[in-house]
Amino acid sequence: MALATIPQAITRGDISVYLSGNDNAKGDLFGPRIAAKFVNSNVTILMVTDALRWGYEGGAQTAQSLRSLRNYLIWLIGKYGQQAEFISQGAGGGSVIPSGSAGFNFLYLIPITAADFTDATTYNDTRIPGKQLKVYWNNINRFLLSSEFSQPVTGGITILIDGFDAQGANSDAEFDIFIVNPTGSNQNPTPSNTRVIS
Amino acid sequence: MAISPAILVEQSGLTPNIVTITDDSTGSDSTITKRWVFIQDATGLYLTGDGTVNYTVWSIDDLSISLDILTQDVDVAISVQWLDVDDGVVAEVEDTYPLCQFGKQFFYYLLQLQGLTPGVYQDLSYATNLVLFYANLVGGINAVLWGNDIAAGQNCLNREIQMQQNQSLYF
Repeated sequence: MALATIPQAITRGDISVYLSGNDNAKGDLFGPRIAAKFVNSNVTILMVTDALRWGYEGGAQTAQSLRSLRNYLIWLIGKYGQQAEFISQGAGGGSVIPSGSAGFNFLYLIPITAADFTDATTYNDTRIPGKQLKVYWNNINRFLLSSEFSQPVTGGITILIDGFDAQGANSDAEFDIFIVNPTGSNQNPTPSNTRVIS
Repeated sequence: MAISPAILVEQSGLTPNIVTITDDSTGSDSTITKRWVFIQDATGLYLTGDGTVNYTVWSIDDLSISLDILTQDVDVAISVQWLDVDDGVVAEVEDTYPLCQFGKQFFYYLLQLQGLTPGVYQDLSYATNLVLFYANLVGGINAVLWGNDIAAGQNCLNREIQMQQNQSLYF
């Protein structure tokens, strides 16, 4: 299993926040000092993920320092990180994949660059037609307004900002496409064994 | 095509004291001879200018301008005017921005140390203050990104700035 890159670790951290939150909610874990009480609380995961994101984006940290914090995050997210790896990359996860299942398809975040555009303003993606999207433009550090992009019927996004040219002036553009209400599909697992208890 | 004004604002974690503004406009206007940059914080204080005027002149020949004006995290309103030879405003753009690299890199520093000594997280005071710092930093950023509210955002940032400046008491 390949070691996560910094961006991959950040994505897995983001995903682990809700995985651990939901997992914690099943038990008697919430209290007034949740971040102090449990190392793998979703608040702690969120903070370490954001620290790594800011260090990576800020340009002030050494590669060695970033790798060190990445390793800490991977340790912190533990089993949630394994699930997050499968969710974000469709691979890995170990025993998380139930035997007999064809897999679980869940789309949450699509990072793209200008190289992914088919023309100056259009990125096509047949996985997300009709989805409610939030698009974050990393180069200007904000989400696009609803008037600044449209969604082709076949899926993807079209940038409507005047002058935007993914194949020219904005060839270094990087976007994160968030699916606001992600839905997944799974196939009913087929048990490898059938047990009858009499 | 007439000018469609736009700017990009960047702050590097390597040099958090500097804010760089890049002209991202499209189109052109032959009457434009200069630009003025106004940067104002939540108290109404202008970070640009020289005391006589509130703006900094941005040469029309320069694609970007770097201003060494920051000493701590601040939520600001940035306005850029494109002017003609008579100082008439031809185009203008204004927006709010969170300039929080001091806080982000300090937070990274805290988590980096935590990664080296995970046991420190069991200290209740440390953990509580860490969460407070994070919540105020993110609050200061989100107030601007989501609400364009530099006053509310700066209130949050002031609390985390105080924690930075007295870190030996909190961490």
